[in-house]
Amino acid sequence: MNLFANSFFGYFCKKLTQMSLKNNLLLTLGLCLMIVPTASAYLDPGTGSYIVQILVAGALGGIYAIKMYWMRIVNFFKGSSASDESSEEFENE
Amino acid sequence: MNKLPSSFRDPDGFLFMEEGRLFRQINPGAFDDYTLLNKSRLYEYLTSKNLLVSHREHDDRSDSDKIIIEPEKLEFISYPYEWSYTQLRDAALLTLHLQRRALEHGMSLKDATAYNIQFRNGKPILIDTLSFEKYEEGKPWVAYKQFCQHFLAPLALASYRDIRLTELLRTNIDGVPLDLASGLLPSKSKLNLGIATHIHLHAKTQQKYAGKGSEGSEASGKKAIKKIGLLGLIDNLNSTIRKLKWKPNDTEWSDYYEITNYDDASFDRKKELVSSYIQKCSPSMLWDLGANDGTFSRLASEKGVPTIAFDIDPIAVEKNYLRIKEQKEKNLLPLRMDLTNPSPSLGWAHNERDSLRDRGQVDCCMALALIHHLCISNNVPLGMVAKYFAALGKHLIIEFVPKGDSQVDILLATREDVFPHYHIDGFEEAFSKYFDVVEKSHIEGTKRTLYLLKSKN
Repeated sequence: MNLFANSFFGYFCKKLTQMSLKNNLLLTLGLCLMIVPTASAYLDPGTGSYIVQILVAGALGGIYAIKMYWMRIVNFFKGSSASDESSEEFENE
Repeated sequence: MNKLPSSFRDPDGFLFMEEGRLFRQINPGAFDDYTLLNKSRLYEYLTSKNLLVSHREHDDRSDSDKIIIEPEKLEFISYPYEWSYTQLRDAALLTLHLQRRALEHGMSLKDATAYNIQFRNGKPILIDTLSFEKYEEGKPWVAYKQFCQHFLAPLALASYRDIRLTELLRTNIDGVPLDLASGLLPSKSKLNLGIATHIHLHAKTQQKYAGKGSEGSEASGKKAIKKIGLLGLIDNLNSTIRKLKWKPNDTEWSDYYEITNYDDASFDRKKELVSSYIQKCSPSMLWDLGANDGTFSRLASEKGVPTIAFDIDPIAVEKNYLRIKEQKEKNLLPLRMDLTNPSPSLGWAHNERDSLRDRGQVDCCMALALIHHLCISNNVPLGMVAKYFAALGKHLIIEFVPKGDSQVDILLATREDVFPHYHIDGFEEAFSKYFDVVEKSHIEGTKRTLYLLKSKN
């Protein structure tokens, strides 16, 4: 078993893939949830790339929401306005 | 109308040149998105922060079938396979930042190609006004795959394996395929949650659903990803890239200026001469070939001359870029370039990405302490060097480094001297076919000679 599988996330992903290989559950889930772009997108977004986003967006959105609330709390006590690294890096002349 | 051959992929519009001016035509299919870009004030916001090139609308040339805008024209177009690690990283982070700002304004990036980012005054900037489309709630990011291929995969490969793997961008015009990146990355990269998700899992899922696109297109249009999920995805890509590091070992060039045979006085004398030669040809653009960390490039850029500092060494280019960032320097762009195998024409019909030569001929090229590397390390005959340099620049500031110089002796120490014509007379004879000598000076305290040449073409 490799390092990827040793990590919890790797194990989760592997299990998920194995499950779907057996019963095509993931494909069904993915296709049921999937949105097909209606606009005239000139890029091929890739079915697999759409499904990865669907799989991870919920968890990453949750983490992001917690992060934002935490930043607000920190900034409230610091008395400063919220500013992230990218804004500092690209928007400060 | 001279349509730019690199601008054919997006049916929403294209770029064209007319009398040396750059224009962009917007087709009816993109009218709504273009209107929203202005109405949402995203355009105003991004241009005010220098994150997107500004443009002027030409109402007189626009009609119901087209809108014509004139975007600001950049002095030089560079490509991601020519950037240093941090240049590619900054372009990636800017793309994510743009996507976040776009989402805040009800829009989304419809593509995330590294070719849409350029460097101006030491900072990355988006050059494609048509990259924004209306954000539709629930819709995943259409450019996610492209972002991972163009940015995340090469950065991860450089960070975990070797900086030279970023050159895969040269052979893969739409970025590094994720299955290739996944295979090349070490197992330990799977412990990095971001890399495990956006590269390894992504590659596996792509592989699994390859060829099942038609089934996907028959699927329902339920809303699948909330905006917060998309923002989480962008934030995770952002933090994954910020955590990646590239720590280079010192290369043969990185301490070059400490080990040359120049004493301080000769070095200063060389600087004075180069400076005066630059002043004499007062170029509108200068290319410093073999620029190392840009010490001599700055003699031009600090006087307001747009300057490109090319070097083969990724560490030298990285150091140069980091210094530009830190000092907020303007007019200088460092790029990776192997002059013995310079960037070729690439893409469809060899026309999508220009070769180095196609981006010339510039007013002035500089080749300081370079010729011995080309002629002796790479066996290029003097005449061929002269011919190529004449194609690149109208003026040439070149330093001839003769045998007997310690740097040449090092190159000859381990090989047979098969260069009977490599001497100052041979140099002058070879270059006189393509150039006239404007000035020539011996650099005191050294065996070297500096020339200011003017192309005969």
